[in-house]
Amino acid sequence: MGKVVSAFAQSHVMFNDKGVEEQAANVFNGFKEIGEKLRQSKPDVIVIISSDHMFNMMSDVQAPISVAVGDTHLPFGDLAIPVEPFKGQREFAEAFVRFAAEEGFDLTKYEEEDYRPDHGVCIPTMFCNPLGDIPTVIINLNINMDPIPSPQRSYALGEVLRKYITEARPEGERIAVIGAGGISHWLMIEGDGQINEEWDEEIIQTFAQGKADTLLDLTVNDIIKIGGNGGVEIISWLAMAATVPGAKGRKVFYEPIYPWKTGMGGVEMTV
Amino acid sequence: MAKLQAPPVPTRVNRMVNDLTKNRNSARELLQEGGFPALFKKYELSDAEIAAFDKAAEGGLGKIGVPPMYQMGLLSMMNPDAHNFLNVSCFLERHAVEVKQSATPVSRQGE
Repeated sequence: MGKVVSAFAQSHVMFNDKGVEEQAANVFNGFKEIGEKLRQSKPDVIVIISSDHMFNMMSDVQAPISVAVGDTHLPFGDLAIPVEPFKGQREFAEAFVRFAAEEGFDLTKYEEEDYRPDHGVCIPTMFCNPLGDIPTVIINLNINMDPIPSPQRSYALGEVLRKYITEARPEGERIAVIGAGGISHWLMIEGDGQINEEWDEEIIQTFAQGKADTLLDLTVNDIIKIGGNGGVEIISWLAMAATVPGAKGRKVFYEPIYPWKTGMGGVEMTV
Repeated sequence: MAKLQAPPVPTRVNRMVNDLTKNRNSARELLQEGGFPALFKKYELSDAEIAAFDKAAEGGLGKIGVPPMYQMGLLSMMNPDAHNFLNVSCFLERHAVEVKQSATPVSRQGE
């Protein structure tokens, strides 16, 4: 059986640092620290649970939950992210899709020709897998469609991922899991530019205290009201937390960066 | 229950963005050669839809059913300041030195 050897929750964006140099540097340092911790855990596979920003899952075809099964991932290059390929892990990804189907999740598969990861995946990858040599499996929770996968459903997906790792993977396989997105941000909707610092800190503490499952009563609309339409991305944090149930953790960083219109945070789970 | 965020719908503007993103129907070439007016003509946008582009920074595109992520993408294409802001270039030098060059390949060989 395999094992989750490290798990993290983190924001997944960076913008120009002009005027917010100190805060941006703190975010950079936080991402860097998470990356170093992840590599120290010596994973055989990284699973990044994140969201696409309508670079792949557009208004014409909307997959609620999808898995990138390609042998290689080529970044889309949004935000001027370097277009440098990184390894996929087809066998892990395809077997997970089959396993999940037996557990009540019909997942959409994306081949590399049809999926180029955007910043939601590539910002974490830049820091956790800068050489692109650690095979990576990408799971996207679609936060732009209607309906958006619920917190409960996202957590349940994480439970299936944990079961897959611990029951179906080869003995000794080491898996690092990242839940990427959030924290609060309102983008191009009423309230554009708001950050809910109090909620952000509450979310960070909830995960650090190993109590992510206390958030499962929230609906997507609850989260949008309190954390903005971008705040919904914490469903990826919930999926991550379900792979290490009950694990506590520690806040790595938090910065509310108003010019970026988002609360930026990171948590390392104690695995 | 009322939706707090309008779902993506198949409007003419959204079809235009889909084609730009996936580089279908020569959309990118049209943008490069004739700018947004050429795209507006090809996708037969109404006067009201075209007028919404003038108020893109104030959320005008949201009022004609353009989802937030598409609005961000369009802003980046239309406005050099937005393009420079929605950009990680300022971090790349530091990233190359502190993260990329100092990273060693992760290998469990020999353990």
